[in-house]
Amino acid sequence: MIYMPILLYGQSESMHTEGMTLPDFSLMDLEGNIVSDEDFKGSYLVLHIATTWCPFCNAEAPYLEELAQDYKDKNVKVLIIDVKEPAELVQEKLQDRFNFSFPLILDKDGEVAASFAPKDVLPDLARDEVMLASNMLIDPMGNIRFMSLLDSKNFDAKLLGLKAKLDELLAEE
Amino acid sequence: MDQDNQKIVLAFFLEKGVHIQANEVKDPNFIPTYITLKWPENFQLDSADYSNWEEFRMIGEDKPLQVFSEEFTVSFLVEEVPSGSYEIPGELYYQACNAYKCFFPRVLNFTLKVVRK
Repeated sequence: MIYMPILLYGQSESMHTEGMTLPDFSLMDLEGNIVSDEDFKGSYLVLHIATTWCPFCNAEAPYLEELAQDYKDKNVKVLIIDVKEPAELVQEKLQDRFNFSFPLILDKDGEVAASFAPKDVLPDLARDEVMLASNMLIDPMGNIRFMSLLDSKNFDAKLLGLKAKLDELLAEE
Repeated sequence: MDQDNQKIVLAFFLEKGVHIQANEVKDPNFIPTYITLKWPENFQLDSADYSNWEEFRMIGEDKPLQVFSEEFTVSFLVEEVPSGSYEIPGELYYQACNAYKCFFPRVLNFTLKVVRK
């Protein structure tokens, strides 16, 4: 009998984001262009951290594109950060399949994904792994106004929680 | 080793709350569980036979995942295993999730000990 040493941790889905800001990043997209945090200043940013094999990321993907289309005239941009995968795989498995109208950028070593991870959340796990399947909403000033980590018992593939926050912020303007 | 039915059966146990993608997955993006063993050249075995998977439903999604959880087995029907004692290196390639995390694919290295008298 062989015992597989996979540990179980739990946390709530919603996060307190007060004081959290968009970390600096500069990563390449699938066309070889550099995309940085500077490109999103002045706009709302919906950010998803994903991999091609993540079932929850795949389930959410069409709803990200739907959100991008629904909010494109409202100064809202969408971005996927793919973690530790080659461009060819991401192109085939995500871009070609879901036909995103927004950038996918490649975090080859996971450092950018890790930079988003709250220090006190699942501290024994790798920081980039903590952020897989997460969603964030960043306001035009770079403040993180919404962060959700994966919670399969309350899985929000349709991004209802994030959209509610986005609508609230847009209404305040 | 099951002498009567001439099988080698490996049993894997997962912690409660953890599941791994089964050996067969519906979505081509998902990573199926896959076992490899460096069988001695004089072993004659059929290909791996995995135990039945179960469905895991993501809330709000129509398509369930096909997963292993708690316990699953991989069996090899034996055609010929010469007498002797063997230590056979193996790898289980898998991708796991629990309620709150999906983990990067991993490899479980193990050594299978087979004694045939």
